[in-house]
Amino acid sequence: MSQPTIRIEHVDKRFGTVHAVNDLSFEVPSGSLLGFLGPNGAGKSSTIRMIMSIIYPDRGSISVLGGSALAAKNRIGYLPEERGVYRKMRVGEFLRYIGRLKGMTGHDAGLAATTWLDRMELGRVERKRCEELSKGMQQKIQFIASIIHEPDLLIFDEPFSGLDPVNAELMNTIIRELHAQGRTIIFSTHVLHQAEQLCERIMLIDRGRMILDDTMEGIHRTFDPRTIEVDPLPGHSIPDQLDGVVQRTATDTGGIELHLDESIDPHAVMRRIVDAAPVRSIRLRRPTLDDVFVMLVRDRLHETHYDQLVPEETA
Amino acid sequence: MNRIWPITWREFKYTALTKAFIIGSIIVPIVMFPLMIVLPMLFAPTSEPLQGTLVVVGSQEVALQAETLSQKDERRHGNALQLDAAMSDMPDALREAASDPLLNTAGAAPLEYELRIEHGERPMLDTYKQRVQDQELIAVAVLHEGILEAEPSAKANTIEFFVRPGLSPRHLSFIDDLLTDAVVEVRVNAAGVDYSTMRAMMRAPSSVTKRIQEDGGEKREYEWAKRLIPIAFMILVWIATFTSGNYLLTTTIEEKSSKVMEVLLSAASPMEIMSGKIIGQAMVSLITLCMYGGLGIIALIALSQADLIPPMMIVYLLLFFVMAYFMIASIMASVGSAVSDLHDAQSLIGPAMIVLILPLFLWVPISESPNGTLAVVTSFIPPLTPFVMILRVTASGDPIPFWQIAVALVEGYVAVLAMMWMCARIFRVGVLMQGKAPSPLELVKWIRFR
Repeated sequence: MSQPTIRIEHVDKRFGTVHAVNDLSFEVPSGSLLGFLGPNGAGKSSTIRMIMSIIYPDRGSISVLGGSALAAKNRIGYLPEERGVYRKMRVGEFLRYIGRLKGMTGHDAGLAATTWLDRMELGRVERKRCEELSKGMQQKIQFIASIIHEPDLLIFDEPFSGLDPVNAELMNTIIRELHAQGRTIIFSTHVLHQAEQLCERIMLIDRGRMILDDTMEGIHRTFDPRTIEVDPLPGHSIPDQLDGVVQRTATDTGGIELHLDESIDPHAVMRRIVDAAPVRSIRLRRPTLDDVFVMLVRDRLHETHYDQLVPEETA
Repeated sequence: MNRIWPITWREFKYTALTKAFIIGSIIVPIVMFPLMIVLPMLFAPTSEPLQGTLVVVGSQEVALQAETLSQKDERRHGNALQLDAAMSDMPDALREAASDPLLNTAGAAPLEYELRIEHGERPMLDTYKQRVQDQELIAVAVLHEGILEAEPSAKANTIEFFVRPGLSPRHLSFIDDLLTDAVVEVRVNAAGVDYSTMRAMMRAPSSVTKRIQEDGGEKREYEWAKRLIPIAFMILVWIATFTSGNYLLTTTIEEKSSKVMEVLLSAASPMEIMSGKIIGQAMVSLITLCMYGGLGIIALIALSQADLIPPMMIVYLLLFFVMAYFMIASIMASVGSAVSDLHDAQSLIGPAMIVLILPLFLWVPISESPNGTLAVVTSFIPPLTPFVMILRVTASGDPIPFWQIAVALVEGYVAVLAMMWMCARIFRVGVLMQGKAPSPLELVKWIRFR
């Protein structure tokens, strides 16, 4: 089994009276694409900064690419949440500067900068000063700065903020390509549907503690709301009595939500509904990451292990 | 080191290779230097020759005396003679430079005149006034009754001038001086004393100081240089260190406020960033030092006075400049990292500046008494050490005991290391902080922060 790219063991970090990170442990396997999520102030940025050796834990150990991040800085690409550019510097020069800081030669950094600027549809701005660019363009420049040295590990903190849908899609594509090349990618975002689309695995932390660490498939399984959404054709209705349905709720759009018993097979219930009445649509609701996030964070239900949780409606 | 160099170069490039720096710190001094010669030419009083007749009413003796005085060389070349007297203690080369025909014409140009002085009668005063108005006379001067008495009253001791329209202030001043001198000379002669003899007797002797060298030789000592060289050296160190210190402060604040600092931190450690920035600004500081210091040395060489600055003085300058720079840079870098805007920086730097500005106020007592208690005590108080020591070692009085120089160097560089260490501790915490500026107590906590 290959060594994990990141191994965090019992890490603690306090800032005065604030317990930012509390006995946090996890591993990030090599080559994975991981969403690192949590509400504001959950400890995400502190954890990422400790991974980057920008700050140090009070307790516990962190191993990045088999050693300290300080030694591996040239193999890590980091797009921080608080990011910026040198306003007076020209775009190409800024990228070459970051490339050189990351161990590249000036020549290689220059070539890579030109290549990536073209790829990001910014070839024409290479000679412009950073202050002349729009916020979205600056965002793309910063993204290039984090990947220009072809790092093995990429950490993106809110990579899509400030981007229009077209550019967000472009960045999405590039992240997928980087992942396909075998690079390990961690990204933190509040745009959960993007995390859901991109990530193989999700980690959710709150108050400095891990409250969820699972694959997307596992999350869908664990947080299955066991709910069928059905919209009968006009003039038809769903039978009142259906085996396995413990509760029914009318939706705002004229449809019905049927909450199922734990023991029943949802697909069998769906077949019975279709046999009983013609429907405009019927689907088995899947838990979205938004649902899971709100459930775990807002309701602070993570006091118990998430494996023991079931959706409120069926509890 | 691989990461420090790009940071150093960027810091240097974006400070020193900018239009503002090239114009302000390189072109301006280069231009200022010749301007110091050219400006007096531009400001030199030039006026038309004074030609015409002056009528003196009230005393024929004064009129005659004024006529005599106006013919004397002393009067014709008065400015040049005064300049020569004032420069009696200057090195020969400076005197030669000052008496250069070009400079002489520019700075101390004598007034050309062709003046006739006539005595006039009081009853004719209205006629003279009319002639003045008609531009036939330059002016008419009326001496009050009793002006030639040994002890005239304030009212009597007055000369009234009626001058033609358009008479320049310089011409009027010349006439005024001429008649005033004539009145005094007539009075003194009337008392039975020869005025020329008396004036010659009253001329103060000039002094020439020669210092006996250890090898028995003699060397001319210039008082003005003794006083000016220490403050020139200290201001040189001050300007070079504080200019770069300020750049360091502003670039660090800019990197924090533009949020580029965390991007840098992802690539380099706080220590590498701080080191790169401080070394980069050290290069800028060195350029400033060489620029201004070099121009000063070129000026001394041009005036054949290079021996006023022995090589050891340059060595001390460099040693104490490096010490001063790293002390100031560590203060500026730590403050820059701790705050988010310049306003907050001023409140933190204020107390430090009050201490650092002290040598500027103390330069006279320290340079005049380089081995005095004040000088010795302040020499060993960092961060005053480099500034006070540069004043002491360049003062040409009694030599400074070598042990004091050695102790100041050791103590100063130990202080530099301590300040750099504290700066690094503050820097690594400060660069990640946003919001209100920390209090001095919080800075101490940051230093102790693990």
